[in-house]
Amino acid sequence: MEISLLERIFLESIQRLRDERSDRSLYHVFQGKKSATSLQDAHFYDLESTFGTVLVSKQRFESVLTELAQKKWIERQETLRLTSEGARLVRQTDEVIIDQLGGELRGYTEMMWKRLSLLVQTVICLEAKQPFIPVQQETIVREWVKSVLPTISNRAVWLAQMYQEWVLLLERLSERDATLISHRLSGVQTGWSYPQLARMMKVDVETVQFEFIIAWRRCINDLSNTPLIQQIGADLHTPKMTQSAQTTWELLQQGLTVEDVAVRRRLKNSTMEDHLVEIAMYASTFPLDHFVVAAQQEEIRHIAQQLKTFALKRIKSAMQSDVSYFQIRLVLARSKWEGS
Amino acid sequence: MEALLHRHFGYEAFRPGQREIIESILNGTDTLAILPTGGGKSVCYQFPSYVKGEGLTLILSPLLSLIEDQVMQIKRRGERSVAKLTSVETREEKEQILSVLEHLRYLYLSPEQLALPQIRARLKQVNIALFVVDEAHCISQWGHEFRPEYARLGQLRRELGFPQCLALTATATQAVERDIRTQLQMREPQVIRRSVNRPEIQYIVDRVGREEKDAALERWMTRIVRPCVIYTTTRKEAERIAGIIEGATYYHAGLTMEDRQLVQQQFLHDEMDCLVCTSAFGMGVDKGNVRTVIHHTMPATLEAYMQEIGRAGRDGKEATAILLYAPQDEQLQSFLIETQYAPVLWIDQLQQGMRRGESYAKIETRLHFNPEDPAYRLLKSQLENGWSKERIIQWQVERKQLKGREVSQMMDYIHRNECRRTMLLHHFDEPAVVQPRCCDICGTIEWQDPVKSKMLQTVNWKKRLEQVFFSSPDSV
Ligand SMILES: [Zn+2]
Repeated sequence: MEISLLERIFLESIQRLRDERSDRSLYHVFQGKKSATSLQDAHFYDLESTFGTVLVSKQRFESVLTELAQKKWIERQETLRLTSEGARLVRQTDEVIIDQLGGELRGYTEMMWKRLSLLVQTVICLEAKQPFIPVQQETIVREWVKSVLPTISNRAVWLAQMYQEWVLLLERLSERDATLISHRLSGVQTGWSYPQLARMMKVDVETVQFEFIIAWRRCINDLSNTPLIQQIGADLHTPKMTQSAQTTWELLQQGLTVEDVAVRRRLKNSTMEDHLVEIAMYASTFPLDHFVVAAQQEEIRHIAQQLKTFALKRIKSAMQSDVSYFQIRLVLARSKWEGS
Repeated sequence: MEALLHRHFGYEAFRPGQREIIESILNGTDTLAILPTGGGKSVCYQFPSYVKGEGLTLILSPLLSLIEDQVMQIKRRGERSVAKLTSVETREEKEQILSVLEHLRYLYLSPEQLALPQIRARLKQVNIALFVVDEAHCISQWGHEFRPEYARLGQLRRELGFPQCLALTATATQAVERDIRTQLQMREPQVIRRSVNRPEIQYIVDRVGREEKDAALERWMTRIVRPCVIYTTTRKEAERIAGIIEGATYYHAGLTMEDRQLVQQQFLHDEMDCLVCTSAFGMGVDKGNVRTVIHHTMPATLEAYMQEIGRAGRDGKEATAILLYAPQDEQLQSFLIETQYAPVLWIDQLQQGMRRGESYAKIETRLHFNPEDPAYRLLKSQLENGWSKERIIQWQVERKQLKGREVSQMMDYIHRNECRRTMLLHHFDEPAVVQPRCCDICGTIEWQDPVKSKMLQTVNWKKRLEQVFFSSPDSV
């Protein structure tokens, strides 16, 4: 049976959820909800790449799940899981789609497109003395372009180099990806809308949108040979943590103790724990031994592996020694770092 | 004045009616201006500010897209002191704008924003030179687009100390005109009415069988001159029809923001010359050379029809308006009228919840109301204004009757064997005009040779990249 790109994205994601999370959890990850739970889901279940990149409406999300269930590719109960047919479909190709969506870059990919497309359009149209409708309307993007324009002293030279860099980037892509991206771009000639691209590629609008996201992610994967374009995103630092956890992290780095920070920021115990889990997930170093003794760390890791689960309850009840959920979360959060 | 016009707007001369309106404003008179679409009404309220030199021009406008278009156009002509307050701006952005009001020339806002206490309080502190109400027919319950938020504008204007008022609309019957004057509490206003007649447009109505509509459309497409706009009632229809017309692209409010900009730009630029759209397109899009407007399905009112065909021939050159009709088309309109008003059940549910002391937000979640649904919003504002259930129902009945009458006027236009132009003019209480190139009933339809249609061409990416970076404006 024919499987659409979006359906594939759903199936691959559901497979990674290991029959342990609900449709709500998946929806929040797709939407990129910055809550401790969603961040933890994305991190534990290896769905960072989908975080905030599968932006479908609630209704559409529901309808896809309903269709997948009707086709008997998934089962919907408390948790989502693949049927054997669903699992077979996922195995059919070696290529994993969801790892190419770029969610782990937290909006960098999208913002790169917005900045670059508006900057290119603006410089070309200014040079051609041609009025235009800015292709990006958001204030932050327009302000950014406004701030960069004065730094371009010679537009013709800049354009020539920019063009060369685009050629370099698109050369590395498949014909199809390069066609999509080059036709979406605007200069004096206007870029194409998704429905127009869909018609050209003979697919539906939804599919072409995701094809574009993936193609663009591939396109800017390595910018080391294209300094002008690389520069455009140089200041885009995108913290993975929530703002609040970030603040806690900064205070801890200044040498405050966990208790100090909790008192100073008036954090509830559970909030502090959420912050620490976030820090454990994303910080390059973390004093795990300070919170969990080595033997228990080992036991938690061992059980998680053996049971192939991230479900805290199952791990806790399989433990010999007594640990808290918080300690389990920390160890799991850290396992991506410690394991490698 | 012409020098100022050229300096700020780039035009050599005023369009008919503009000077009269501007002089009336400069005289300090409250003014009601009825200018057909494409008459250049934005110049009328933007211009006086350059003569007066000081004071804020406040512009109330009903639609977000309209406000965005206008702000964009003002910025494009080089004027920086313009801002907008709508539902899009964040609280920080709003505060920032409110803190620099004294330095602004133009401020656009939606009526909902003006109703907010903190915004109103701030506006009371600044000198408002002109209080502009765009699309003023929305204020009238007799108008085809009544908006409850507009009904409070008169009171809000009073609170601001009765700044001088300019009300603008493209279409207003006598009844609507009276309503605008009283509601906005205008004092001895000067009413400037330009004829709604558009001599450059010829009118055609094509009545076909239900199954033949697409075929009829395709037939017309071989005769008409592009650029053309095809109006449909629903998004789905727009998508479907764009699929059967060569070189056509659809536009509706369901597109992403980026897609909307792209399609508008393509169309303005003549890179693509057939746009299939819902009524979401058009307000504020100033494209002079639209040669043909086709309605695949009739609009609900003659007013809406006039506005939509008004997008043809703005450059003053020959244009054509074609309306396709198949039996039962009116039923879709009747259905849409029903969906505009809340069912009685909602009134009961809301009143029950309120008696229990629940907030609107709480009731909305509990009963799964969509807070954006216009029917719901309308009901909510009526309840907030203390309307009883009986009054709301009575009002709904009257509104539906009115809307029903408007649909039958539209049907009349389609079915009567009378000069189309005369019918339209009579509807707006204007005398008939006899002219060549008039309508299908008069039998004076003239065709020009169709130009070759412009289509987007797929090329390989290398070529495309070259085109994007290096093609000159004339080669497009
Ligand atoms: Zn006639």
